[in-house]
Amino acid sequence: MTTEKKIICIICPQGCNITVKGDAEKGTIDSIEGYTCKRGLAYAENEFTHPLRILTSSVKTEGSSAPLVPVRTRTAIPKELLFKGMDEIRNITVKGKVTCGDVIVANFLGTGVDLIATGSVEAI
Amino acid sequence: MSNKIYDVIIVGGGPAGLAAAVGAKKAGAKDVLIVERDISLGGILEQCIHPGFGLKTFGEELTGPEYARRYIKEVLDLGVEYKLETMVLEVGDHSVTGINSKDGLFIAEGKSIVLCMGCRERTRGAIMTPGTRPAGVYTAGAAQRLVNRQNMMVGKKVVILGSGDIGMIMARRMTLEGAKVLAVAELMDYTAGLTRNRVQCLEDFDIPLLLSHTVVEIKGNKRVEGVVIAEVDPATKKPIEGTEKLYECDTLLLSCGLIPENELSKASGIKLNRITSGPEVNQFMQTNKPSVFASGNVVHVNDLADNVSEESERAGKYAALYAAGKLTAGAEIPTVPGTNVRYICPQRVCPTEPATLFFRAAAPQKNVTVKVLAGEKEIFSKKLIKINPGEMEKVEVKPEQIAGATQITINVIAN
Repeated sequence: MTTEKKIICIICPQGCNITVKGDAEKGTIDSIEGYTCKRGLAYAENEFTHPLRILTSSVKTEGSSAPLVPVRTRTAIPKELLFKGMDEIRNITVKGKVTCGDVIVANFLGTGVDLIATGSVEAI
Repeated sequence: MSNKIYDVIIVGGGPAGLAAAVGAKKAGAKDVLIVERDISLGGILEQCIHPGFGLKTFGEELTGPEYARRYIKEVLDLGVEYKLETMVLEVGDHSVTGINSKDGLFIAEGKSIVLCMGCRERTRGAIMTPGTRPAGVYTAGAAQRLVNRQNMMVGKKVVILGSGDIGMIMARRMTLEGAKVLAVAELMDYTAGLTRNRVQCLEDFDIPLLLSHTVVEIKGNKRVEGVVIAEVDPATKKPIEGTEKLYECDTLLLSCGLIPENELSKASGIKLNRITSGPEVNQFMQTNKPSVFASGNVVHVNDLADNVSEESERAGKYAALYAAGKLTAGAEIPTVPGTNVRYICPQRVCPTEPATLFFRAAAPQKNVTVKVLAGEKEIFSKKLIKINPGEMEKVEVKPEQIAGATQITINVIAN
């Protein structure tokens, strides 16, 4: 079924109003209007057919200089996996030294995207 | 302290201070010192674990700690000195008085100073919310630090007052951490923060946004038991009787605006602007005291760390040039906010150099033209689909456009 969806782009603070027409279930797009950059075009395509978000949170540490180390999915993952991702993150404890960029979980939730550290802690 | 005289001393090691140090070093300053009161460099970025940083500066989307790390690495590589857990007590024209447990009380001398103290949040006292005084009332940023850095969850059923960016970001964060966010109430009839945050933090999680609403009472003795939210008249901002509704919750987060932290500036005789509550500066980010520069949220509250970095690298650069005797003063032209413009930063422009004028609209408006006047003469205009007080705008002016003008005015006019 052809539908029209109005999307506000979240890639940058400009917040462009983009209109996408197509069949979301089949994943086909007839037209995209209102985007002003390539990132916005890609965002609108995904947002119409399969919304993606970067998940950021923090994981517990043990024997480290701070109680938590922040983490993120390296790139965006399907939006519907955010809460499942949080359940997974809640069960993770890292030990000792962690360096910004370290892979905390490879292929997070089978998405093909790694969960990486976005901060550093020292071992104590 | 040694008898060393620094070229540039920077007060604060957050996004502004780090970028100012980089700017100063790149412009040739030899000895640069950052004085920071927290346990690490990075400032507020360390608790901003969400993405959205760096799109302008690095062309990629980073989280706060990652963004900070890039600057910290550069600062360390450039050989900038820094002192942590050090409180600055006084700023002079060519000195900074500080105290810490290692040096005790000390005076560091510098040829120029850059003020990068940032801002702090409006508290319940500042917005005068009536009711009892139970535990469970936090500013959004304080809750953010507890949750993101100290592993302490602040509540389970949450109401947020104010739609500033930190409030909306905390609405998402609390939801992901398992809390129920009942509503975000906003006094104004528009969102205070960025549109992208309204979409990805509130709409993504079906969190109700109540525009033209405010908290009129906090209930509970030991712990917050609920808050009463009422609709307000959009014109007077006064609560409308009969619209009060009780929201049973254990936590109230406040995201009601940020105030530049200028106690040090005030005490040292720096001229502050009534609207921004920050120092008045020229395009070199130079205050009314020629040796003292200021940048970042201590000058005016920015929406983006990227803007803070850009402005602060500029402050650092000109502070270094001043220290080297290469920045000379001349007559300056004042900038004047006109129709639907709340403020312009810089407040003064040195007409021999180009300048970027950052400004904020006073109220949201659609289909407008931004007009810049040098005296009576229009020197620039651009059309915008929309303008929003939550999103800063900028225009460039060139020396040949403003030569001889008595003032520069920006107007935002309906098409």
